[in-house]
Amino acid sequence: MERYDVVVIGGGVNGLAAAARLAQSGFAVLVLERGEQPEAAALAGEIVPGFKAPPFSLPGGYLDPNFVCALGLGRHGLRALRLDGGISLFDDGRYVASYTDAGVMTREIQRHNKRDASAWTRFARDMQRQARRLEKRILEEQQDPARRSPAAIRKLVQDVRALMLKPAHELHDEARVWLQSMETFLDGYFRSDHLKAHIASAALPGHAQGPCGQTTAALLPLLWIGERSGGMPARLLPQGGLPALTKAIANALKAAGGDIRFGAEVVDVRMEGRKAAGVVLSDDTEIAARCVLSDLDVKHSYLGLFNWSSLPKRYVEEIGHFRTEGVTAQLDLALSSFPDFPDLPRGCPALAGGLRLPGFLDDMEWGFDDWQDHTPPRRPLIDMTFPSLADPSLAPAGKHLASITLHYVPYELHDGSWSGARRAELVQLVLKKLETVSPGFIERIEGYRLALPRDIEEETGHTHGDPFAGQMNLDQLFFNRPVPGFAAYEGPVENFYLCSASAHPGGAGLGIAGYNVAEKLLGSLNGGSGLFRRGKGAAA
Amino acid sequence: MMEHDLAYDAIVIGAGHNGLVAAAYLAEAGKRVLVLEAESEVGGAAVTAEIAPDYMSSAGAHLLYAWPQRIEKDLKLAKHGFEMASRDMVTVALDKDGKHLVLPASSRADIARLKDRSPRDAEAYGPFMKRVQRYAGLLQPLLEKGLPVPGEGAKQAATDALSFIWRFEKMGEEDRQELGRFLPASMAQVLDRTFEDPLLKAALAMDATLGHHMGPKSPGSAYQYIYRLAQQNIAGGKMGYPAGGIGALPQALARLIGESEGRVRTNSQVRHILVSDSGETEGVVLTDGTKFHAPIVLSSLDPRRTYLDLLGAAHLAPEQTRRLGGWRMQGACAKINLALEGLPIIEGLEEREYGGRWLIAPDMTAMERAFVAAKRHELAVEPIMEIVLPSYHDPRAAPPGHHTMSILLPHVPYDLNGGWDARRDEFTKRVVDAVAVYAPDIKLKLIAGEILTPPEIERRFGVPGAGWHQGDMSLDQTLLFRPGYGLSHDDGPVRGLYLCGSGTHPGGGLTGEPGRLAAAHVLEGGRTHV
Amino acid sequence: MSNILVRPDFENEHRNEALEKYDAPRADLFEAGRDVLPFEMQAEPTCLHSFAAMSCRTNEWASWNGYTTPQTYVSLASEYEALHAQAALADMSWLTKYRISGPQAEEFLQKLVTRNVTALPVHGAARVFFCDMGGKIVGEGVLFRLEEEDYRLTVEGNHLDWLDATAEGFNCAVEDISGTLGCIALSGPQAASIARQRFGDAVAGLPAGRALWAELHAAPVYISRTGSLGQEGFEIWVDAEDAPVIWGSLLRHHKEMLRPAGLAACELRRLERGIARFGRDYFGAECAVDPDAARTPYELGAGACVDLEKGPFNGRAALAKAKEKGAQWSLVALEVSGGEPARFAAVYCGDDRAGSATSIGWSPVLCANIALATIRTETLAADEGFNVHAEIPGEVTVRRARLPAKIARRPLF
Repeated sequence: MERYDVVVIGGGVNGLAAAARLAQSGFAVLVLERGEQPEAAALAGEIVPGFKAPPFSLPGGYLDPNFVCALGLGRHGLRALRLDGGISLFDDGRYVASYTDAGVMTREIQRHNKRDASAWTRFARDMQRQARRLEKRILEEQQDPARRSPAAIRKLVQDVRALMLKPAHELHDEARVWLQSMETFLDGYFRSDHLKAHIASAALPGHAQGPCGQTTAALLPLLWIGERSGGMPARLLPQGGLPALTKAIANALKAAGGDIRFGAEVVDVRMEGRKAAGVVLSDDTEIAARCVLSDLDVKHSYLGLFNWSSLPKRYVEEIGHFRTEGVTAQLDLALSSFPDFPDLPRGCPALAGGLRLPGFLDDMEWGFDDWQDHTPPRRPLIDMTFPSLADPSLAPAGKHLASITLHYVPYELHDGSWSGARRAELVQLVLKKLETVSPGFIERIEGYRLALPRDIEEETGHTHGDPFAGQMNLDQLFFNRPVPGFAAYEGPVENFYLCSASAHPGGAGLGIAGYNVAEKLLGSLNGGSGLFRRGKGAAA
Repeated sequence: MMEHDLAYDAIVIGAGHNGLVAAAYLAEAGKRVLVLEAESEVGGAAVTAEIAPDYMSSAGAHLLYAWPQRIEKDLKLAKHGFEMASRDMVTVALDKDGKHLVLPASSRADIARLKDRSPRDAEAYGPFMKRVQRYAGLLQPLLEKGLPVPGEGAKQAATDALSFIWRFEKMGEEDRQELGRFLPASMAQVLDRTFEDPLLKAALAMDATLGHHMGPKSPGSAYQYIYRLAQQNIAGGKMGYPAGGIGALPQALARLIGESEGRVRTNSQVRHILVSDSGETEGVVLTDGTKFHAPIVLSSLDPRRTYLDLLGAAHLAPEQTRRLGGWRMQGACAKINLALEGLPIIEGLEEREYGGRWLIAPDMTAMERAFVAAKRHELAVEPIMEIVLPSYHDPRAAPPGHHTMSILLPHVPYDLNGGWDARRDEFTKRVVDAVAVYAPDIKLKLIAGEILTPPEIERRFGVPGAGWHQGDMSLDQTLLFRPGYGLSHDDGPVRGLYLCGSGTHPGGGLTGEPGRLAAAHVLEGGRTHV
Repeated sequence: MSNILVRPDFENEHRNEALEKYDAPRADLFEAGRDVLPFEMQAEPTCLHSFAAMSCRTNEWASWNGYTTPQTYVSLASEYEALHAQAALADMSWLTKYRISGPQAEEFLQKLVTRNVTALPVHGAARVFFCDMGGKIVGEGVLFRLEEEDYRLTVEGNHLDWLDATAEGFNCAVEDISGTLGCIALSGPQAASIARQRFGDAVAGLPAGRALWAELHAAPVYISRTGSLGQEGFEIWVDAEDAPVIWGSLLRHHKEMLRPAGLAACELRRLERGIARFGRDYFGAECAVDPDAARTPYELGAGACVDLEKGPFNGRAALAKAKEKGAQWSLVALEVSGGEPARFAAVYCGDDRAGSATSIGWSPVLCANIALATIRTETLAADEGFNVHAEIPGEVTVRRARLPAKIARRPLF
């Protein structure tokens, strides 16, 4: 029987990140990926001959530069693009563009509202403050606040005391970014509906939340994680999308001596007593390991791989209730030439970061409500990027690729399924909208591919096509993720670790969950105290 | 001597129930209090009024679901003619097929009905209620007293924290773990995890959303549920109805004040609060120019009107101005008061249940759709409502054998597409049709009625936004943040100015608690913790 | 466009005539104005840009308050020399200027700033701070009273939102007039003499913190005995259209003892005079991501600008507490030994970190590295033992050394 130190189930970003980190520290690691070779997958993503659509290049989270450095991904083929964050275009022809430079951003806002331009400083400050707090928490394993030692209780009392010593305005300032709705929070700074919609539409992608619901303001600072400039945060996109990132991490893994096997589906976990001790593949091969990591979402990881009776009953129930929601669809369009946007100024650099047609906050809330009701969107939030601008190899010379993420698209409809007719209707809706802002758009289309949440689910294995392997509402974040009481990476089964985005920090950082698990293991596998230590192990 | 030459110890602005409670407590403590009410009647939204000739009803609020017995005792309201006609109202979730649910499901009969609908839910109900009661128990002490003052209250906060933590620890591990998830969650998520019967879930969700700008799926609605539970527990746990209608309460309080050295002066609208050069309140001036002097001023108006209109932003720090400008008062309601020829017959309803509060909310989807419609400034296709028969408790309110019906409708848009004037009849028809599904003979028995649209509720009862909380009870406008920024009790920009309405802690619900706590603060000399 | 400076009795025809006499360079060559898209420029040009560009031989530009201005025109040495020994003109048009007017302008300003505004007479000017609820400085600047109900507040940064929020409930108007007003600083020991020649005795004799209307080439100018460099000088406030004329005329008529001075020379002089700068030596409360980087006026040694007895104003309660508690941080001037220009940031007392140097420079006159630093107040008790970890750039390599530093009285020179 083959034997490894660590076996990782699933070759997604998190799984590979964990594996690469461990391999670089000298451990024998094997990654088992059910799908085919990445190269083959990329080829399969040709929507029209000559146009390579990176499959499901959803942002999926923030790309931590430390993470990139620690794994040496630059050396292994990763190119990340830092783009000024995009433009929101509205029905009345007005637009708001994102610039990372504070001065330029202020002048951009001044076109809409002078007072808002002044308030931007305060807003950017508050976002950066909160982002700094989150940055710390993202790299920590979450403690269960329900399990308390006397020392922890004493600390809690001290914390409350410190909290109460804060003056009243500071208290509310710190709390409201967690508690308020995005709408109320933005109202606290800005008057311009266009600006508020622009900011909100940057933060909502992929989240099954509407801007008017409480606690949705907590999504805003996620954009600022890793950002130090005073303008609107840049959009950080791996060139070639998620598959390129995956490929680079896989290269890093292989360079460090790790193994990846494709077409290998894990169907069971080998147990030694109550501890996980390896995996069993669909062809009955058994592989032994000191510990097992799973990059599958929490439902597949536990409900799919274990006898439910061997898991705590409550845990099984709770995982069943863990909300994985598909909320985005992807529409990739092959274009014969770059579209014309008469409302936008020529040469605007922000266009490289993409174009959004968000509508106002009310429209987004409307879209969210429709989604909750399982109704096809009447005006989906359209978020379009042009990957071929940064990577011309994706399309033939002079031609372009538009990759549109549509928000608030339900996984299933309340009155039937996503039939061919309904799919076509959705596409027509979007194209009509695009035609109004870009005359001649439809003419330029040479072909398209629509992937609804169900299609994304089939391709990526994420339940319901949820880009974050579990929605990021407060009741499913931090010590609640994936289940209260089981927020530690090692769940109820010893030696079996959840390293997918279903675990902390969810979609707040690409590959961070896997990285964190590796760091934790390096603490314990090296015979350390199991405390979290950053930067352990030698990078290859 | 002119009346305004009299020196008062305190002036209360607004004779809604909270203002009157505050004034009553001060009066009982020997203070000379002047209550100034803009309208010609006291009570605000707590009034008994004629809804049609010979029919009296609780035109606004129609239920005392969290009225503290403590206040009744402290103020000896019985002496002043106040008594409860019923202290034991149950909640009936009406079902189209007559299989109604009675909550709380405490008696064997009620549990049997629940079992009939869903045996699984009957099993799960007890443990669920125990858990939420434990959560409510955590919140309760915070509601019963004033909160520590941020910036200075460290010692008191440490004591409070210890006591909170002790109760937290006692809860048991699973309860503790759940709490962190419960607080930001939506009631729908919590209920879907526990129950299956749509009617039961809707009935419980009603208590989470009634009067709030939230649907069952709104994040933060679970918190509202335990908040209401905590309020009810403080009150003694039961819903009740006073003899003489809701208006009997402010009337009794006004009598109490009248018999003390203070007085209640109606038709007296305050225009400004007077402030000395050294930043202390000196009294108020009315719209007609009359001035009244007192070193303490309590305002039962909402925080925004109190500070931005009556005091003026000039006295506020910019942070406070921003906070008040963003103070949200949504959750608009409408009211339909009907005069009926007889008791509407509802199949499957037992006699005592006619005296309960009825909920027409078939499932959470209908509730959510009603909320979504309101957000879109539209009328709900299936209106959701809470119904009380005031005449059941108060037979004198209607001619013999006749009845009144009070219908409270949440999730009604303040601004309606097409305008309320053009569509009030359409709205009324929808509501009556919806009731008729459960009480088919209602249209036959209907004699007269009045509809109060949200703008009319706001105008008539002085309830901003037509929501009865003077400010959403959302997570960012609750507890220390209600309204926060030092604006609550004398730790604000101007010494001697207090908020005593539902816009301050502990919020709305016809509890009188904001008034009681404000009075307690005044008697303690301000800036302390009760 | 031009609003504030038009005096009621002024005649415009004379001005147009006078303007034609001067061959001002075609403004449209460098015209940047409001039609430019935000992304097309990193910083806006000031109204003096065309003239500055003509004089700027080095073509080294810096960005200040969102505007672009020359770092050095010809050489740092000559400009510095002019500033401290003769006279220099500096373009200060990049300042943010607000016009505050109305029946309750005084009450509004009284609430806004920490100083007692009622004491400010017409044609007076004073340094002011405005603070938040925590007593931390949101911004600082100079408040001018042009008329009974007409003020001008000049600041660095964009504070319109704060001003508007404070102005709620007052009958007054707040306008941002930044682009309409030019400001030329005439600074140095010879400044008074030049002022006398150009503007007359009344102007030359202005006491500190006072201003006067005057006229040059038929353009109305408002001259104040103020300056942000902390030394002898005037500030000339003039409509943006007229600014180039004034600038050109002054330089032309006083070639021998007047030259333009760029940002670098001004910063060095400011440093020598010990003046702390907003956004450099500390951050405004609305900008500072790290709350610790915001300061109260007491921590800057500007307690004289705070009048706790004047009645309620923004931040009063917190400032009263801060005064009682004593400042945790102190702004000091440092003189660092070692005869070569060096770079440093961290300040130590012995081996313990005492604080940070926020502005550093090499003073040619003192022949020493000087700095403004913020250090923990308790370390001030230790009179000696201060040192900095410096980097001394050589021709090829950079040398590291611990250099002793001593706290010097401000102004240094």
